[in-house]
Amino acid sequence: MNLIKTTLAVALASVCASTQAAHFIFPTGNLSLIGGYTYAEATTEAFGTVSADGLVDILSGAPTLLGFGALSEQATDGSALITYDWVREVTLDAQTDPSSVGFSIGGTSVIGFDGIAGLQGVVETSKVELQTTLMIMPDGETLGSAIRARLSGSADSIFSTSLPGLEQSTTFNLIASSGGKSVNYTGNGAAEAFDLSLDTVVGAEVTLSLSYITRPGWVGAAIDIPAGTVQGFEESGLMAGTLMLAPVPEPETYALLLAGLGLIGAAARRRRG
Amino acid sequence: MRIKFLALAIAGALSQAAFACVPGSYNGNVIFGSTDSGVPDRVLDASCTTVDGQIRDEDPWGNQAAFIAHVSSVTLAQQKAGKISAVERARLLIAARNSQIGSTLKVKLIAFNDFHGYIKPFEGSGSNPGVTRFSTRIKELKAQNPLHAVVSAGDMIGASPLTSALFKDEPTIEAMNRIGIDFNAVGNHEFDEGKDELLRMQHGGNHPTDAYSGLGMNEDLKGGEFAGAKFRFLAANVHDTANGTTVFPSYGVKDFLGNKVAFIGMTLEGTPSIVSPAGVAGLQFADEADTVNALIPKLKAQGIESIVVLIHEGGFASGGINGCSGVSGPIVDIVNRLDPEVDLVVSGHTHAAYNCLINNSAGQPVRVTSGGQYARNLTDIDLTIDTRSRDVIAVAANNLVTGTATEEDAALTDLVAHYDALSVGPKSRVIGRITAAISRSQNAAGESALGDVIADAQLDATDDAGTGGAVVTFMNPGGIRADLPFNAPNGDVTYGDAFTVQPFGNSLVTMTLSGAQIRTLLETQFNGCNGQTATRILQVSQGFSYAYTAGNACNARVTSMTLDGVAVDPSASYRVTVNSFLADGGDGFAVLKDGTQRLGGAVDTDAFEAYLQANPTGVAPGPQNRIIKND
Repeated sequence: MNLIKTTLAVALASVCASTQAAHFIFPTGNLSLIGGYTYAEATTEAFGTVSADGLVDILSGAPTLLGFGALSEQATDGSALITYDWVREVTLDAQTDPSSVGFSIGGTSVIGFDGIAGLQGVVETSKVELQTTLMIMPDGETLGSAIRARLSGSADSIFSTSLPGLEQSTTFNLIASSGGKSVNYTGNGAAEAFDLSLDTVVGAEVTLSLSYITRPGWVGAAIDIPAGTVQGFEESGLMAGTLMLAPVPEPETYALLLAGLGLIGAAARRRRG
Repeated sequence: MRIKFLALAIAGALSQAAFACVPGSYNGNVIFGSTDSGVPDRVLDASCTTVDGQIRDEDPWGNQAAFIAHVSSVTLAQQKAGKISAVERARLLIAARNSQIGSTLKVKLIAFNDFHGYIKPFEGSGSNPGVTRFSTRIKELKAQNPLHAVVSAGDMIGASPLTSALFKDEPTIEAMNRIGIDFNAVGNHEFDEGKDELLRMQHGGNHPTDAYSGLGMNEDLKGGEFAGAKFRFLAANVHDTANGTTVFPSYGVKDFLGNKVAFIGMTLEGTPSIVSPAGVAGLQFADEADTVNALIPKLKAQGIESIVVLIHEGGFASGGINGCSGVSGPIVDIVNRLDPEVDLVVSGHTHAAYNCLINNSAGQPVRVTSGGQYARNLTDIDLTIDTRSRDVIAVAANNLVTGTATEEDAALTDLVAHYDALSVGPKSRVIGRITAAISRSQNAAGESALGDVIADAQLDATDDAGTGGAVVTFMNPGGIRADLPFNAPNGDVTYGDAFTVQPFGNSLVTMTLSGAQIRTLLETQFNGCNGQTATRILQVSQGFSYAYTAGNACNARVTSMTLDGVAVDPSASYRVTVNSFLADGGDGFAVLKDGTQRLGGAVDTDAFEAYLQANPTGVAPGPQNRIIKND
């Protein structure tokens, strides 16, 4: 049994040793793109069409990317009130720990109608995105040696509405590519985890694109919303994760690990017998 | 949605009168820094956690993106759990951005210089707080900010009191290892025992011949031997003549949540003139400002914008330990020539404490600090770094007093006690013999028997052609700290006795002065003359004699000077030995800074021991007949 334990320990150590390897930098002259906007419009019999729009500001530093946009708008007419709150954030932090780059993209939108007669439709179209290139720098590895970029995280959203016929339309996209290969994740914010592996080499560049798009909308027969109540919709969303580097496991490592597990399994069966 | 809003409204109404820790209750809004989000800081559950309590806005954040990502993640979970509304999440995110948290980062530097191995409290001086109290203060400062660096501007070791010096200064390195310091720029005294010994201080291993090496406590040793420094020695301007490489790294970098600060370390260019030739053999010392300026592009190419210089060269200023009145000295010229990219200069060497702003090459003021000497002061420095530019945007510095009444750090008392106990035997090592007690008491002319003996010992150590070719030595009376007692029955002098007399570990410097300069030197002994602030009668060696009339005017008091009976010629050159303290113009003897053809020599106690051993029948008290005071 000791031999089995040792075998397993060695295999596990080989796999776990993968956590510290190489790091990312922004290559010289790298152009990262951050953008984002929103446009929301509501049509009522009383006001006609009311709209609001906003953009994401770029607040990036050298090894970090940060986009942030916010709106807090109101339209009133007597007791009628339409409110629109919108925030979007997109971040990428290659500064705090260059071997584990954190990223996030998300935000919150809230539209509320209070005391509106004849609401005929509402639509929000909002997008925030980030594109960047990171270069894999060696921490002792030789340039050109195999390495694995791992993207793991989750995409989640919260949506609720009191308007009949209005449905969530949320899309999170993540695409990473390097050396002609690419991996991607697309989700609708249904609390999904992702864990993607992109095999590349030390010294290569990894391009990463993130986007968060929301397009809830409704057009229909006019409805009346009494004063003192609020109806509308709200959405919060966030895709967050890390981009890390790990050695590409050698086939022998897997073999050793499987052998160890197999031996333990066999021993367990013998004990049961 | 209607239901959710209603639930929150009820919770809010309840809260005003509710006890703390009732979920939904609150006492104020979520506040990030000084930014009020307008969102009630509700209690989330029975454990008293609140909305704000889950958001780590008080933590240091290396950049704004990291903080906003954190707030985004926490608030999504809070919204999902029904603890906040969507609009509140939006407001919290906006407040996170407006708070600017993460856009700047505070880093604390704890700086000192000229520690000189003063580990044992009160050894050498009643105002020596010892490394135990020094450590207490450093720990207090570290506790104020988890992002910190402890840095030294040279002469951490060398010219140390016996408890460190006897053990090759290994006790000081081990004490600093326990405290946890980051970088020590080399000073001149780090070279007292040469490059190889200094490399051993860094890398460890026992001394090849000295039995008092590797005697530390087990926890401080490595493989049973001296472990070496866990911090880095830095020496940007010290090159190996053979291959042109620096003996130690030019700079060290410490990363604070992705914001790198570079520390360039160096000693004074003039190190060879104040260290024995053996200590600096095979080494070249480059200009300080040129060395720093040449490194700036290399650092910037690595994306480093925050740059601190640790330099073992300094100046003098008045106005207390945080004063800077009338700042003078070599550091002024050096800083005047520094690239404006340098954000802070931690200086040393002069043993002075000051807190200055001195203009750089662009005419912009740069903070320049020095924390005195011997563990007595620490400089508490806060750097504010703009995390987007990664450059220092503000520097605040304050010199603190360690204090002799400060509590001793229990983490270091055993180390000091260990070496103190080990030194009992060596302190009693007999290094020679004297025929009677030798007093430092001065006669009416200002000459002491011990002053004569020390001056003679210094002459003996430097009068050969190879060691300086000196013909006269001058010893400052303030450097003679005690009488040399007669130990009955036969006058044995112990190492501890000799160390108590001359505890500073100054090395000898031989230089060329004209007869006129020697006259200026002697005139400068009198209070009020040539900038002198007290009357300090220098002790002189055998063969030199002079007379003075105290009542005469400044620069007219010395009435005769002879060497071996011949009048000193004002225009002739003489080889003169003084200790390194005087050689730097110490005690107001500025003319000694003008001495040329400087050559470093032995440490003063070593010279004294050699002199005793060269006179095995016993050294007699000096005759006190070399200085004549006219009536």
